[in-house]
Amino acid sequence: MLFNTFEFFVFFGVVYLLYRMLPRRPQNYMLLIASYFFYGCWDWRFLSLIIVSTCVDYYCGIKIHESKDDKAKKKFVTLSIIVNLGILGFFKYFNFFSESFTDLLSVFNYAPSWFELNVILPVGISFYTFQTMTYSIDIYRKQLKPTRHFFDFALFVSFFPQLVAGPIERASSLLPQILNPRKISHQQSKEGAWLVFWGLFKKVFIADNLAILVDRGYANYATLSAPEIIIVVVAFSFQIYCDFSGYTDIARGISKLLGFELRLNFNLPYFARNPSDFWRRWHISLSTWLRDYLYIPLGGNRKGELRTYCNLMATMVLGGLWHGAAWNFVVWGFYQGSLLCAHRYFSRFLPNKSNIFWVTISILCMYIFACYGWLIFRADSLSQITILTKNLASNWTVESKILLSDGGELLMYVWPIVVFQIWQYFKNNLLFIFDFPVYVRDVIIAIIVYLIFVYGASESQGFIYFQF
Amino acid sequence: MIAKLFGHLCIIGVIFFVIGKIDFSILHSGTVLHESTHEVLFFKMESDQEGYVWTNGMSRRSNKVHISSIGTRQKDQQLSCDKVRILATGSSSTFGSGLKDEEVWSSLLNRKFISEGVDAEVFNSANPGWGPYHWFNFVELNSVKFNPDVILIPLSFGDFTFYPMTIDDGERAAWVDRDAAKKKLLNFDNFISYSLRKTMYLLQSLKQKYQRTHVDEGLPLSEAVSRFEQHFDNQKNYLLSLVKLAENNRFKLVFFVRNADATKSGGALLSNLIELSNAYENVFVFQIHPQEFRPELQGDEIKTYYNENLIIKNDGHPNELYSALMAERLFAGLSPIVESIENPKNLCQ
Repeated sequence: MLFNTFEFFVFFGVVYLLYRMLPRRPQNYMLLIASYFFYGCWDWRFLSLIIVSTCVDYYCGIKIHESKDDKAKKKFVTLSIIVNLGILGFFKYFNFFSESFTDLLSVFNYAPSWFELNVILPVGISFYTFQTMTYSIDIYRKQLKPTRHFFDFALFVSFFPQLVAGPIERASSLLPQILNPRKISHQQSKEGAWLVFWGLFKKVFIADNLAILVDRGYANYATLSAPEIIIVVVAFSFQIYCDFSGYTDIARGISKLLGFELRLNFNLPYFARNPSDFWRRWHISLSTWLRDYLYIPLGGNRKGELRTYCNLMATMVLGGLWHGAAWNFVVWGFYQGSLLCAHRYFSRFLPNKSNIFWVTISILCMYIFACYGWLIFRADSLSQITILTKNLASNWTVESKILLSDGGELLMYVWPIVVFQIWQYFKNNLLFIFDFPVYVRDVIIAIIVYLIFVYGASESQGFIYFQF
Repeated sequence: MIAKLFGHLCIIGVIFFVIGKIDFSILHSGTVLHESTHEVLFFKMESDQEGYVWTNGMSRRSNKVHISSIGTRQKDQQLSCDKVRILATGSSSTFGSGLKDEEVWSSLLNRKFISEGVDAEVFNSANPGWGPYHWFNFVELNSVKFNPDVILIPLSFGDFTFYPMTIDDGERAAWVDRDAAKKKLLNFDNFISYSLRKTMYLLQSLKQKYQRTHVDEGLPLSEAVSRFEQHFDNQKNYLLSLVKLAENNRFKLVFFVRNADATKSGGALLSNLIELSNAYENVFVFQIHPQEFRPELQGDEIKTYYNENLIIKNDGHPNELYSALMAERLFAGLSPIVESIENPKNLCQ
C-alpha cells in the first residue's frame, strides 16, 4: 500500500477516524493492528520477521536492564544485534554474496548451484531492524530504560507511517510518545496536512515525472553525450530527493495528524557546503545512526588521523551497502567515504569564509560532487558507471534539439522545488508557508493542486527507498 | 470552522480555474483535440486541427499532434497521385497516441518509401478507441474519397474488446444523441473539457482497478484465449464485411498484428486472420513478433523486454522504438504487395 494511492488514503481515513474516537491505550492497540495490516498488505508472511525482531528486542531489553553483571548484559545486546543483523543479512544480502561468490568460483571454472536460493527482499527490512537495534543498544548504554508494555513496544517497531522507509526513529524519542498521553494541537494538524500535501506533490509531480526522463537516459546510457548525462544526473538528483523526502514528508505529516513528532530527515541537502555538511542534511536519521552506532564505536576521530580516515571509509562503505546489495552501492559508499576523507584532509588548507560568493561556490561544488555520486547510485552495473564516466569526460557533442527538449523537461518539473528551497534556505524555516498571509497560501495551494492534477504522473510509482 | 474551510476551498477552486484558463488558453491554446459526433462512427477526430491527444493518464506530457485537412495524422498531408495509396485505420496504437508526429510508424514508413524509391504513401486515419465496427464503417464511408489501392489495419487482440459491442442497434440513436450532448459540453471550453475528461478518467480507472479481479477472473485477456475468441466472434462480421468491401472495390486488405509481446490472444488473433487470408486472395496477414528482432528471448523474457523497452511508461501504447520496428516490418511486408500493383488507381492526369 503506497502513500500515493487511493487505498492508502481510505486506510488512513479509517485509522484517523477511529483514532480520534478512542482513548490512548486502545489508540495504541488500534495503531498496532493498523500497522500490521499496512505491512501485511504487501506480504503478510514477512510480518513474522517484524514479530520475531519485536519479541527478541523486547526480551533482550528487559534482560539487559535486569542483568547485574556486564557479561550478561553484553550477551543479550549481542543476541539482539545478531538476530537483527542476521535477518537483515540473510534476506537482503544472501543473494548478493552468493552470486558474488559464485562469480568468483566461476573464474576457476567451478559453478556450484547450491548457493542459489533466490531470497525475496522484505520491504522496509533495513529500516525496522536498525530502529529496533537502537532500543537494545541504548538500554545497554544505560541511555534508556526498557518498557514493560509489549504492545507499545511492538507499535514502536512497526509504527506504519515510518515502517517501510523511515525516518529511522530512536526508542528514546518515539517510545515516550507512544507511552505517554498525546494531544493533537491545531498547529500540529495544520503542519501535518501541509506536509502530506507537499510530500505528495514532490512525489507525484516532480519525482515520478523526472523518473521518465532518467529511465530513458539510463536505458540508452551508452549513446549519451556529456551534456545529456549531466541533464539525466541532475534530473535523478531531484528525483531521488523528491521521492525520498516526499515519502518522509508524508510520514511526518500523517504522524503529526496522529499527534506524533518524527525526526527531520532532510534539511535542504543541496545547500550543503561540504561532504560532512551534506550528511548532516541528507537522510539525517541514517547518517546519525551510522555515526552513533558505527563510527563512534569504531573509535570515531579519537584514535589518530589514519584511524579516523579508516573509520570514515568503513562507515560510508557499510552505509553504501545498507542502501542495496549491489556493487554500485559499495562504490557509492567508497566515493562518499573518499569525499569525507578528502574534505577532512583539505579543509585545513581552505579559507573558512562565509561571504555569499564563497558560500555559493561551495554549495555548487558540493552539488556537483553529490551529482556524480548519484550517477554511481543509479547505475545498474559497474560497466555502466565506467561508460558514463568515460562519456562524461570525452563526449562533449552538443545536440541542441535533444538538449533543449530534455533540459526543458527537467526545468518544467524542478522549478517549484528550486523556488521553494531557496526561500526555505534564506528564511531558515522549512515551514515558511505558514508565515504567509492566508490568501497567499491559498494561491500556492491552488498552483500545487493544479500541477498535480494536470501535470502529475498518471500512475503511482513505488518509492525508490522501499527497495532498501 | 467548516464555513471558513469551505470558503478557502472555494477560493482555491477559483484560483485553480483561473490558472487553468491561462494555461490552456494562452500558454497552450488548442489544447484539447475535438472529436465530432458522427452518426455512424460516433466519434472521429475533426480535420485540420492541432492539439494534444490524451493518452492513458491524460497527463500534459502527451505530445501535441496534427490532424491534416484530409483527417490523417500527418501535418499538411494531401492526397497524391501516381502512387500506391495505402489507407490505414485502427485504434490509438495505430494513431500513434503518446508519440510525436515524426515518431509515428506511418511517418517513418512514408519516409522509408521515399528514401527507397517505392511509389507508395500511407494515410493514417486511425482514431483512438476504434475497433472493427469503426474500421469497416470508416472504410465504407471513405473509399470514394481516398480511393485506396490497399487498406492497412494494424491491430491487436485488445481492439476487439471495446465498444460498440455493448450497444444494441435499437439503442444506437439514443446513444448518439447523448454523446452529441456530451461532446457539446466537452467542446465548450478547453480547460473545463480537460478537467471533466480527467475526472472521468480518474473515476473510471479507479472503478476498473477494483472490477478487474471479478471481470478477468484472475487471468489477463492477453492469456485468456477463450475469452478473446468470444470477443473476436462478436465482431468477426465486421471483418468479413471489410473483406467483401475490399473484393467489391478491388483493393487489397492487409492485417498487421502487433504481437510484439507474443501473447496467447495475439497468437489466436493471428490464426483467425490467417484463416481469412487463406480463404480470400486479396487478404494478407503478417505480424511483428519479438523473435524477429530479439531471437534470443524466450517466454516471460519477451514480456519483460516488451514492458521495459517497447511501450510508453505509464501508458501502454507503443513507444518510438516499437513504432520504428513497426515501420520496418511494414516496409518489408508491404513492399512486395505494392510492387504487385502494376497500375495504381490514382494516376495524375
